[in-house]
Amino acid sequence: MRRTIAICLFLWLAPAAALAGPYEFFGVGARASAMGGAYSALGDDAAGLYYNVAALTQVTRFQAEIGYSYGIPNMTINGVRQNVNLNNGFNIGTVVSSLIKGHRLTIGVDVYVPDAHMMRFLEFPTDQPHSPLVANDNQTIVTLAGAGFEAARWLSIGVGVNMLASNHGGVDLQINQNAPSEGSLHSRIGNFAAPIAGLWSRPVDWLRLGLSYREMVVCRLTLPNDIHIPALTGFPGTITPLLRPSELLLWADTWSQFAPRQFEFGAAFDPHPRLTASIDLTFQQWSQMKSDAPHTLINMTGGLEDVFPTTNGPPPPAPNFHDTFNPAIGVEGRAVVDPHATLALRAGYRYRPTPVPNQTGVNNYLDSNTHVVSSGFGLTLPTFSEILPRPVSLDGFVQYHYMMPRTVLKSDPNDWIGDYKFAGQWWNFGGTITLRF
Amino acid sequence: MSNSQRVLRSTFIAAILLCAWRATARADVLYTYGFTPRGIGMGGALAAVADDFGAAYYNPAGSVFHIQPSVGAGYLYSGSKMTGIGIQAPKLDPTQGALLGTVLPIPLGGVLKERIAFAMSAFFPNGLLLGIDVPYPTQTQYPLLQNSGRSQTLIPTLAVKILQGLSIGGGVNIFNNTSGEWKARIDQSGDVQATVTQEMLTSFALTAGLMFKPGAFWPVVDGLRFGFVFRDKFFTHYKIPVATVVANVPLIIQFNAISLYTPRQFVGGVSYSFDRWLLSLEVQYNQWSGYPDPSLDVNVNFKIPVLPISFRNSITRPPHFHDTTGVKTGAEALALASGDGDLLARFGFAFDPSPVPPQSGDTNYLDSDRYIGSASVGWKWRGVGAYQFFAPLVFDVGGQLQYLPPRVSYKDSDVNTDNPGYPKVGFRGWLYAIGASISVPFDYE
Repeated sequence: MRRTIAICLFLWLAPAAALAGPYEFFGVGARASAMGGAYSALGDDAAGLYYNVAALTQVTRFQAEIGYSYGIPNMTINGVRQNVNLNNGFNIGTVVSSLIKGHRLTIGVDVYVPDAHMMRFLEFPTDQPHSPLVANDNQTIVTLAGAGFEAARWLSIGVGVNMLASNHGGVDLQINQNAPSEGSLHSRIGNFAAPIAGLWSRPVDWLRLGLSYREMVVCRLTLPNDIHIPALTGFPGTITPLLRPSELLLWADTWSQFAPRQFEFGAAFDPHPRLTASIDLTFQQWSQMKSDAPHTLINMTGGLEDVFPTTNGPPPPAPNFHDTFNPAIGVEGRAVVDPHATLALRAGYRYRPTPVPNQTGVNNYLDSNTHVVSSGFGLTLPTFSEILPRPVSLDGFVQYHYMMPRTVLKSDPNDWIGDYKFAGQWWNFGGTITLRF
Repeated sequence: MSNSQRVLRSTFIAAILLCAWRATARADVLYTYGFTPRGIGMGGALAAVADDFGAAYYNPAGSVFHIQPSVGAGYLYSGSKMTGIGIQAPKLDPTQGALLGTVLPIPLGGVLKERIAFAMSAFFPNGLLLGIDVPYPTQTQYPLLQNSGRSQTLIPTLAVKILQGLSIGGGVNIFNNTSGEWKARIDQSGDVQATVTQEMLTSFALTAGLMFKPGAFWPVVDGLRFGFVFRDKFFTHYKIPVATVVANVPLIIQFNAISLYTPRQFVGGVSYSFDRWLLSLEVQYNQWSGYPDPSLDVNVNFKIPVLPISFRNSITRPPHFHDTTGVKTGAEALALASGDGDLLARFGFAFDPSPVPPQSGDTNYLDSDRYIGSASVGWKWRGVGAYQFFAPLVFDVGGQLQYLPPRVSYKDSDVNTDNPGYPKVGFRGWLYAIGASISVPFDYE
């Protein structure tokens, strides 16, 4: 019976899956995504705002990019396929560059706009199996803004911000028996900026080095709802109250959209005029992850308390995630180099160790070690037309994420959910058009 | 200057003086005060000017006449001093936040050379993406002002030069709506567990403009510009039902609110520049009659077993706002020109009639006509002596003072005596805003 309940719960689940934001999980930009995200030493387009803001100084003049990505999940629990949200949305980037006294200053903005939401908080109770990592994050707008400055011919520095929002708000209601109910609302969706920074260097022509830092991101959602109920009478015309005046406080507090603090180091080589190879190593500080389960309180005072006694549980337990190192590698070969067109072919690989410990307790976070392989192409037309005299590029990619099967064994034999096994894959496709002016 | 140009100038100045007693309107912060210190200082009368980094807001069609890309950033602070009449005036929070704008001519070639430009105007209130306060329906409140400075505004636009002196532009004002669900259950140990969902959905409101420079066709009217702007209405929804189970009794309360309503606007303006002067005048029609009930809509589903008790839903109170027409005027003068830079002085005046009817019923919406005076100075700094900057740095500082004259409403006889506005409700007050910005043109190389 217990297992049946658990399976039913699983089937009812909406999201499940993997890493933090859409950029952490899938990458950004068709070229970077095709190269396994090994891009902190490359970063010469709007994707540089994420991978290494200092590398933006490689962009000259003005370029605009628009891309789209579509990710299809296949998650199973005990062999039963789950209903997981797609990862689909637009990516828009603009980079503007100018020379100041011979030093290049480049400013850029990159925005990811999910098809469905600008932002979503979907927070489950502690014991409900779900992914803490991608459930909301591919349903959230991402806005990166930054600038790179060429301090010397061989060295650039960059700073920027990752802008997100947190939310606090609720209602104060007066629900009435003998008069219209009414209420007031107080809501604050606050924005905050998490800093990003980078260093980019090209000590010799064939070597580029990148070091980038992305601050931790976490959004808070607080929903206090206060409901006032006057003294209640039973029958019309009677004045003797059946229940004293009451107050019902429904309160929820949760943390969401967590992305860990990250340090990324990368190197890119040009062993041949037609070949570029890059490697990255990313440290992700997952140990700072807070529980994403809502801390919920229902407090009743007055007449309702007399008839509906309610208890509240303790705060959700800590997830106890651990830090990870993610290696990545990418290659790009320029198969066709012609005055009229350049065609590049790309491939990449990333290994993403899971930060989620064995789920032997109350928590049921679903994540496992993941292999990501990718490939793609880039077609550049140096002179597209008289109207667009500078190069136009079309880049495409495909990614396959293989989440290794993982078995969850509960230490409590009476655990409501019980033991289970899960696994998953993602297919992710996308493309980017780059216009240079 | 020819005779015809003198006649044109005199006619223009006379028109401004005659029209200076009718003016503009409000709701979001750009609507209430304007965008950029220059615009604030010129009474917001820039629909036929739109030649700086605020072009996306004032008239997106104006951005395409920029030859150089430019970017600007600034800060706005506004406050108030309200005095209640028959009531204690409710508090109105100050508004403060950062302004950001850019105009980027898109350097295409061929037939599209110097014909397309991208522009963006944005306002970022301090620490806020969106803030909404919806007071109780009968509470004294400023429905047009209380949330006006709490919403992030982002307006990207694109403009096309159709002919040498004629352009059109369009874009969107980007906002978000909030909806969700708060659903609780009791777990196996008897503790409360909740599923909380909150979604912010993107919404858009169209903005479009046209700018016409007849001087491109008839040199005798060189310096004359006409601008027309359309801004569609927008508002934000807030909807979060609360569903829980209290001792096996379902409790479902749905509440909805509409806030930050800004009316559909039609703006027509004309500006004229001659010698050291730039004069502007515009008329704005605001379709306030679509203003919805700003109170919280409450729907209760909570039936206590055995006891014959049920709860009533909220009722709708249509606010019956009416459309308004206003006028804005502004002037800019080159006060000082030197090798190091230029000093610009600006002033403006506007009048904004209130769309709010007399408050003789249950509601206590506080609003009054606004008489707006403004001034601004700008310093276009090219360098110091022989040292010249890579591009001129433009510093602007502007301020606005808005007078809201006394307005009092007396309650009808059927209004409850415990209504906060009984027997009379009214107020008078001042609004003020100050802003500063720095902007710079640059080259792509």
